[in-house]
Amino acid sequence: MKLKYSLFSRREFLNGLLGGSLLAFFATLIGPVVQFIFPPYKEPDEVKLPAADYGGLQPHEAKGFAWGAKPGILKKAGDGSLVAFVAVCSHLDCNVAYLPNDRKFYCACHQGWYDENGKNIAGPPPSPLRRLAVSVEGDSLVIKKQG
Amino acid sequence: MKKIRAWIYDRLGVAELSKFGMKKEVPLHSHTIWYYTGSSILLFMGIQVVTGVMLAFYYNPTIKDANASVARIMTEIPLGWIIRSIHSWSATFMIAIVIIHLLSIAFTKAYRAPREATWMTGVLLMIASLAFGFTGYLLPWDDLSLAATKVGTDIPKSIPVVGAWVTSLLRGGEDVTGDTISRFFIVHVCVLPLAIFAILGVHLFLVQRHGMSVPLKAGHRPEKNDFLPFWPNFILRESGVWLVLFGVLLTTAIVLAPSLGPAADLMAPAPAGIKPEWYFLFMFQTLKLFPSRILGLNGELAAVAVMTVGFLLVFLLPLLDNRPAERKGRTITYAVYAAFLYTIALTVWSLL
Amino acid sequence: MTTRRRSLGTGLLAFALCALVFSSAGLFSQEPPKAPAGKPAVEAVKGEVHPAPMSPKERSRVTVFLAWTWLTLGVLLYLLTLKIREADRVYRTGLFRTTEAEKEPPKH
Repeated sequence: MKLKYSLFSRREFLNGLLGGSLLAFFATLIGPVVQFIFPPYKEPDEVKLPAADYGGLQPHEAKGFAWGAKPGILKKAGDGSLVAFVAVCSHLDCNVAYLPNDRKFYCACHQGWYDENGKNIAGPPPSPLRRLAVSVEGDSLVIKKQG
Repeated sequence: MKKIRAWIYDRLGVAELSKFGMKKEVPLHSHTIWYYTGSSILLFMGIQVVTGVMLAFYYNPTIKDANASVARIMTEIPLGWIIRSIHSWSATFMIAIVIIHLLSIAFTKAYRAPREATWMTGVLLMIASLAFGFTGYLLPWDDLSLAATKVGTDIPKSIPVVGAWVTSLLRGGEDVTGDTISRFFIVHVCVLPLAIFAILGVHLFLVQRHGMSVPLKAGHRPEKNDFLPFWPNFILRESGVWLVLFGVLLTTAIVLAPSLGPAADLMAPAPAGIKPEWYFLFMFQTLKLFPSRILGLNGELAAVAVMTVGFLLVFLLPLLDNRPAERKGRTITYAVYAAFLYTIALTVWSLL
Repeated sequence: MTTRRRSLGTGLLAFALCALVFSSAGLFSQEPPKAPAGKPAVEAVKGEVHPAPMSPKERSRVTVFLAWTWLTLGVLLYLLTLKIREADRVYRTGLFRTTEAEKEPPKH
């Protein structure tokens, strides 16, 4: 199909090419800048804890551990099994505490409550606490991401 | 969309600015090339601000973490080593072009009336750039930078009456400590940028007010309209220069990236072969030349006095060179050549 | 030239430029997860001197990045020279020149 008139003038074409290559040039620079400003923070894939430190846990008792830069809570359930949560409130990221007398997790920031299985029961939290998988390997507890 | 643009343009008065921009013209002659040096400095300063902010995201100005945070930038943060390398090299390039700019103005005598104030603000800008280099050099807190800072902040001590006080002001105490890092950091990141932007504003205003100076014997023919419009002709050429300079900077930064020494130990003896950054080498060597006592004066004080007099002569050059076209002017030109050769000779000597 | 054709043309051009931009970004995105692995291949014996991380993989990526930068720079500079030539031509024909009356008096 032959056009009767050209789509754009030579000047517009030149300006477009110039602008486009300028954009391409700066696009390659935006990459490293963005990478630098948003460095990849990765949660650990697994955390190993010495089993001895957590051996004295009674049922319905909990102890904290470090999950990367976040706090974690290791709890002994009523039936003796170990369960671990990321102790960060699903509402606005405050650290939650375990209240052994109430057998509930409590977030003091906006009075959020979770039951002993981490399910959100009262207050603003929209979803349960994140669970982590616990397994015993030799004399250490291995805590991994679930799923 | 057009309405929003028209509203902004009207409130800001862009029409007047663009009228000025359209009319501004750049004289064409054999020395037009030096007109590009000023804006190149601005390019590198912009790069310094951007890379500096990025580095400050991760840098810790404390005695415990300064070196470690720079090491983290270089090893853990993605492409941190490139950003740090660009910041380091851009400093060198910027000061190099500042010196070229100063020399081109001095040799073309662009400081002739009525541009004396432009020259003086320019000298102040150069001092500020050197201060940037000096304060920035300490921040990685490795043994070389500690030694360089100890020497540099010790020099004012020789000044009578106020010397010890000046050194104490620079160091935040009698010795170089963690307080020195905090002090140098805030000067480097806040005080100097504010100062340099303020002086730069005056400098640029004066440049626009007086227009571009034309050297006395450059073969400029105003009657033949040897002018180039600033927009778009000169700006386009300037952009080309900027792009090439940026490419050279990027390549140098990647190929010749600087390393980081071990963290400074306040108790350890000075490492062998300490020297300041290249732009201070001639002063460093001059200091070494002076004997410890000269004419009954403390040698260091004599050196400081000589350098202060030298700086004052540079600052007041337009007032001294009030007859640039005559023999006095030519003599001063030779003196400037001699001073320039002196700095080069001493810089080379200090490297041998 | 009608407005419709002009907008069609600009759209096509914009699409081509976006393709250019995204391909360059794509070439570049090979770099992202690399850097943490790019630990210095050499660590000095005494005191940790950290040379720029240069594992062979990262070195080749950096070379590609540099080559691409200079390539785009070359293209940009060529187009700039064309644009400068055009601007000079326009100036010489005196099309957008300010008249002597409008000009400010020459400064010094």
